[in-house]
Amino acid sequence: MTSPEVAKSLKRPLVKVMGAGEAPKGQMGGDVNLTYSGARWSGPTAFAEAGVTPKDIKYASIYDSFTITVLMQIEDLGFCEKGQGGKFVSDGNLISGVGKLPFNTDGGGLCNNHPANRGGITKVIEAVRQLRGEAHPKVQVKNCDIALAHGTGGSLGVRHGSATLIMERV
Amino acid sequence: MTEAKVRAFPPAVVNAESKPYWDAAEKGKLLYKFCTACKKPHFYPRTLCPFCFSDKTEWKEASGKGVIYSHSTMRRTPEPYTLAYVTLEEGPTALTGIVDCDPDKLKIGQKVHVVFKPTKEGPPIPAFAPD
Repeated sequence: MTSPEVAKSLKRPLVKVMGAGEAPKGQMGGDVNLTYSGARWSGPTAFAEAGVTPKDIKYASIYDSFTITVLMQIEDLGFCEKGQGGKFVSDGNLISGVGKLPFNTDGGGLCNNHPANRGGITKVIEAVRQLRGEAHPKVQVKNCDIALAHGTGGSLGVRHGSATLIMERV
Repeated sequence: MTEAKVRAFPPAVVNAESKPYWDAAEKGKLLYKFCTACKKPHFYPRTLCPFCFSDKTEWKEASGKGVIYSHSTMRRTPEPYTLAYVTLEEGPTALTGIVDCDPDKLKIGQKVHVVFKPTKEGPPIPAFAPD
């Protein structure tokens, strides 16, 4: 990361942060509901700051500690209706070149990398590669101008932090 | 009971905030807290209401009846045990354990009631068993 002035001198494809959101979800004083995550709050904050909607996202890196993690985040971030995450995924929507939401083209945490409590940065790295056009040719998203990176940390049902980042190719 | 081994509960750490809760557990009573400012019950009990942050919280005795909101059984251990969220009759949902049961037969929505399990060096721990 660097200042805009230095970035322009680097002769590299530039990527800028459009919007970001953070939210904790706690134990809710016993008002427990395990069917959503803090993404329902961090997502809208990031989309509002960026001035875009889920339909504008060309690529998403979403933290995948488990498959259920991804399903919940896809729903909470608004990429499909709540409860439709399973169908959205089984329809092939996460496959680059096939679906609506090319996803974790580095293999993600389940198939490639999960550096302990640093799983968030690898999500940002692959999103930046996609925006720069530097992802693997077999999975590079065409005209990838806006991408999202998102993660949760902690327990998925309760007691976690949620962070959403939306970036654009400058 | 189909399990040969039963997992012992570790003793609770009692502090000033939770002492009334554990004192009640000694007498076989399950307490929760109610905020007289925002009129909401909560669990686990706090001095400050987790919803409105008022200190006008008071102890109330729960009926001890509830239903299973969700449950999960840890089997990869010598003494399998079941964790669950149980929604109390009074409203709040508590993270707890299900005991004296066949874990394979538990169901979401199943009626359960509080039981108190002894610990070696501390007050008994509230858990829930199927009705």
